[in-house]
Amino acid sequence: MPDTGPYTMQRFAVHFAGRVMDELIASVADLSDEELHALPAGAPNTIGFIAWHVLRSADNVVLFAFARERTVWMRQGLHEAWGLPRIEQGTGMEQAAAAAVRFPGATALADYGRAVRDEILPRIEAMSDEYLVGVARVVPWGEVPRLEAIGQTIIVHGSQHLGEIAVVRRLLGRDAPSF
Amino acid sequence: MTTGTRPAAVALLARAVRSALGETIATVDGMGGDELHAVAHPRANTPGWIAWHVFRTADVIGSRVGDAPELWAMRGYAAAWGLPREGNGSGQPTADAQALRLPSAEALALYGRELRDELSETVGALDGRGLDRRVSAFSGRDFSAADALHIFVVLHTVRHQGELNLTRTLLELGTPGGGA
Repeated sequence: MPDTGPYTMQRFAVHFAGRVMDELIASVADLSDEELHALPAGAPNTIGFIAWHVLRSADNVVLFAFARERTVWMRQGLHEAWGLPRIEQGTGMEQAAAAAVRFPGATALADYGRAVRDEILPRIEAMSDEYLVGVARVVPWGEVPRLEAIGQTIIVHGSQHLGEIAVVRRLLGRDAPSF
Repeated sequence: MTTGTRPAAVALLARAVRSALGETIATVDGMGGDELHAVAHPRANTPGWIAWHVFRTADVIGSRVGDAPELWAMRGYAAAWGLPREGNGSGQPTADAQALRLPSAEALALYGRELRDELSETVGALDGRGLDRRVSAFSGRDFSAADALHIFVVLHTVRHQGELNLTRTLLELGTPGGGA
């Protein structure tokens, strides 16, 4: 979707959700296994866990909460292949348990991110105004307008976690995007 | 967007501006001077710099969207704090950013609150023409007012809030930890 043109809810949501998804994918794609799972002194979560948590949240909201369809996560059987929860996406997970989560590698995690991005962005673009301002039940907030759920779960929540990832990347001696 | 849904989107944007800036204000308000200027690791920004940079950036964009002077200059903060009238810290070398000194967390939070209140009111009053109007941002690029507000106020603030939260954690200042 072009960056210019009338300010529509669809353009806003696709542009910014896409931007967050792209940056999440880029923030893990160049990492080694060690860096993906690294926990520098003081950092509460690994980059892999943070990225997975945001990607799973986006997958859950657009596929399951909005459409009551199986998530990309479940369709690809990643919960079994990776030995991770089928439903939960990391919210409220104990720090030690979060730090212990292992992924098959940055490439696999980035591939999951691309699959989620490629699944949800066309769906959002095709949503009508009425659908976006209509409400969906999203755990843990309850009934919220779909646009707000996209804004909160993917755009705002994702952006905040990108800020954390930037700090951990710097702690690992990696370049971090300038905001 | 239909005329019926545009006001809903404007209200969401105004609320997002208020909420994002409010979280940053709350995160620094009440910090001691040592905490505000603490350096968590050699490549880190201080909590004070992060919040100042967020507020300055929002102030610059807000002034262009609202076609009004920046609060930073208009309320005399630049002069009172002995800092430049221009600039928001973007691209500043880490050492210079770490050396920035602010008068106090309370003064910084007051600037943030004034900015949040003025800017959210400005955004809430935008109509379709105001949202679509082109405004210059940084590096000579121009954006629609709506995109500039989303990119340089909401998303920029939220992303730095993530940095700020983790910086507080690294400094053992009590940011919630655990899962995500």
